[in-house]
Amino acid sequence: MVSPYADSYAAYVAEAIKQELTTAHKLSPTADLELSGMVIKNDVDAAIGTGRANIEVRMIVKKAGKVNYDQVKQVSHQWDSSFAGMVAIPRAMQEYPLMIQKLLASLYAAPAFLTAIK
Amino acid sequence: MKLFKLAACLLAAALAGCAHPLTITPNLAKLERDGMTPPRIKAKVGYYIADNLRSQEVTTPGGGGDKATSAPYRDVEAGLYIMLGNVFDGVTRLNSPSDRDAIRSNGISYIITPEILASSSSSSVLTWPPTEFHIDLLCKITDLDGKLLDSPKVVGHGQAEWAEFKGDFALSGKRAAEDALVQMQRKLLAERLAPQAPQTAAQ
Repeated sequence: MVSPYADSYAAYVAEAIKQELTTAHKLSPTADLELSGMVIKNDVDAAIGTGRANIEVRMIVKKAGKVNYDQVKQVSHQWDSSFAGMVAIPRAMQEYPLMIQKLLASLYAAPAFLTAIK
Repeated sequence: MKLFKLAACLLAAALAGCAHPLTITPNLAKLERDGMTPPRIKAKVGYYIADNLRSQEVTTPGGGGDKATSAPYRDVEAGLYIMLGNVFDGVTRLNSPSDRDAIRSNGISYIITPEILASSSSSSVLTWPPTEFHIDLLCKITDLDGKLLDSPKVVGHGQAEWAEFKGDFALSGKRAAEDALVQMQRKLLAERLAPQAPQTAAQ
């Protein structure tokens, strides 16, 4: 599996956030809030029986240059996998974006994050 | 040799039982408003998809006796959000049809509950990806008292041949989802709902 965004999973997470904010009309190049991050861990295992993935990302929110939020978010995800690679690998590719959705949902629901972006 | 044949038959039978996973999320860039799109309806809406529907997978026929699995609600939701945002002044995802806090704080006038059905087929006996895909999309539109105001329905159609979908096995499904959303947008903008008073925090 290769990220479609510059072969980088950090770029993949950044693109996911960008797409969500764009869809919600909340992305502006002139905003005083800046969201950045760093992927610390990123694993996908399309194993026979149960596929598993986990990701750990450090997220930083700056407002007018001052750090308001700096925390590590971690999520795990699992799914029914297959013994056949032609099914298991596309399934893992299909499940990875769902894990990123879970990651972002956990970020958006974090009270400290919500306070930081006010 | 007999053992080899038996093993080959068992493997073929097991593989035939596997459904190929497809992601039929439409090309979201193609759903953006353009200069020809009529003005938005002056109302804010909330939409509700139950969590069990969001994770629901359906298995539909592919080619060569094979099958494909997709999750229509999960894959179409982002496009639905964009399409509703093209039609109405504001869109909110509701956690329940009676999510009063979200309804009040976002000034919602209507609640939209989509129903999505996927079906597929293939004209190919040699390749498994569906060459034809249909997405039936129905939007139940209710007021805040639960009264049904309208339930427009469209059927999106997507077609793809081997030369096109060898790089994207879900192409016919993506095209069907896009077609359904574009048709629904057109229908909602043409029908234009009668204005409803939004619910406010003071009510």
